[in-house]
Amino acid sequence: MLHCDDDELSIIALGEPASASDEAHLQSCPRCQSRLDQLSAVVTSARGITEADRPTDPPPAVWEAITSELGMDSLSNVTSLAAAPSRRRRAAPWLLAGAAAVAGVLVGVVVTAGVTSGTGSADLLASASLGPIDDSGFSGSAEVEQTTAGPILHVDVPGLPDVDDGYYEVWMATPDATTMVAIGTMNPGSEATFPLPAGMAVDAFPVVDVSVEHFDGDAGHSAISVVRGQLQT
Amino acid sequence: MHTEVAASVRRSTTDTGEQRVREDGDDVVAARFQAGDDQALAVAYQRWSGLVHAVALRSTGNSADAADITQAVFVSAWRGRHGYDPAKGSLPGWLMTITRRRVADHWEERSREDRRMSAAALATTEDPAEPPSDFIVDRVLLADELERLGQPQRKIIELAFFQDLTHAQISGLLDLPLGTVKSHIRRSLDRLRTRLEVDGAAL
Repeated sequence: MLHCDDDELSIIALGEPASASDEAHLQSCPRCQSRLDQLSAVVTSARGITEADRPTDPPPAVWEAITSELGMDSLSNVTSLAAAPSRRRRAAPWLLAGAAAVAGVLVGVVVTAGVTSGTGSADLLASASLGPIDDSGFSGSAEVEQTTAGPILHVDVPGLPDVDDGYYEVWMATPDATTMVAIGTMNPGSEATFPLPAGMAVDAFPVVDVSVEHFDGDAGHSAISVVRGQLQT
Repeated sequence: MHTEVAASVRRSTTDTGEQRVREDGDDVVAARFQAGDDQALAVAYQRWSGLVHAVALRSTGNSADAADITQAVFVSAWRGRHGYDPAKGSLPGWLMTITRRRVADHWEERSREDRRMSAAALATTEDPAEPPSDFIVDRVLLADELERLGQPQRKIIELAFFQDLTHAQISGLLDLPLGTVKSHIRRSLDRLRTRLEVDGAAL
């Protein structure tokens, strides 16, 4: 007797109807039934995920308390590492419960497909979570998407306040931050989208940084960053 | 070129021996942790404190309690590291086990307090609503693993899980062959199931 195909069991676990032959086989095969039960349990748990289930960093004081309780004060300097951008923190719109988020995902997919039909598919090239710099307390996300017009960068940093006599600027930098490209200015309270310069090797500038700049005529980075993160494909 | 920014990026990634440990695989970090390498504690904290904290926060609904539990989990994991056997399970799995125990302790203590306070009133606190922390652990691990999926796997499984689209609908929407969608779904589900087995199993 032939066992159920694993691809089919996965689809059935997601709630799609089993074919008549799979259905009959499952009735009589404990091995396939048990496999289906395992996959169904994963699906049930996963469908119960909400935003609150995402891993969330503890406050910095927790690490300090641990090193102090264990008498490892020399280790407490890695507190900054706990908030470093290397810590993976991506936006997860699919975790937002509610119809709005659901509609957003679908519309996004459909629009993307519509814009590019016939000329190849637009796709997410890379995404980054943007973590707080120097305890700025802000975080956000960045995504590079391929479109027929070339790559574009989306940056979203919710809750940024207005800057006195200044503004926010988005940068892309090499991993060692020795070379930075100014991508554009960003206003608080809104998601920003930037076309990336044609011919820019996005891979070479994986670090996305948002800085506070002042109207001082200095086109360089102010060295005051609020969030930063590294794009990952 | 902006040296201050460069310096701060470097500072956050290349301190001392952490760099070496940070690049190690989870099993190597686990072995170093068990052997008492304190840099491995720092790395374990970086990698898995988010899981521990999320489970604690979800289970208690209180950020101060969640911080206390997170602290207690890492302190007792470090002090009890001789009781951890990397051959028997993953380090995050062991941390999850300790987290479950700490959450249970928290609720037990809470219900003792409740009983003390309401003993005279004969309140029905004998069976306090204990949160199903196994489900919480599973969901936190799955949320974490979903974020680790690459594309298009992640988009496909999102559509299947959260939009209830059939594989045929997903195939049409993403312009991918049916067989490709199916095998991505199978691999992603397998990966999620494995993550629960490796890190979710009680040791």
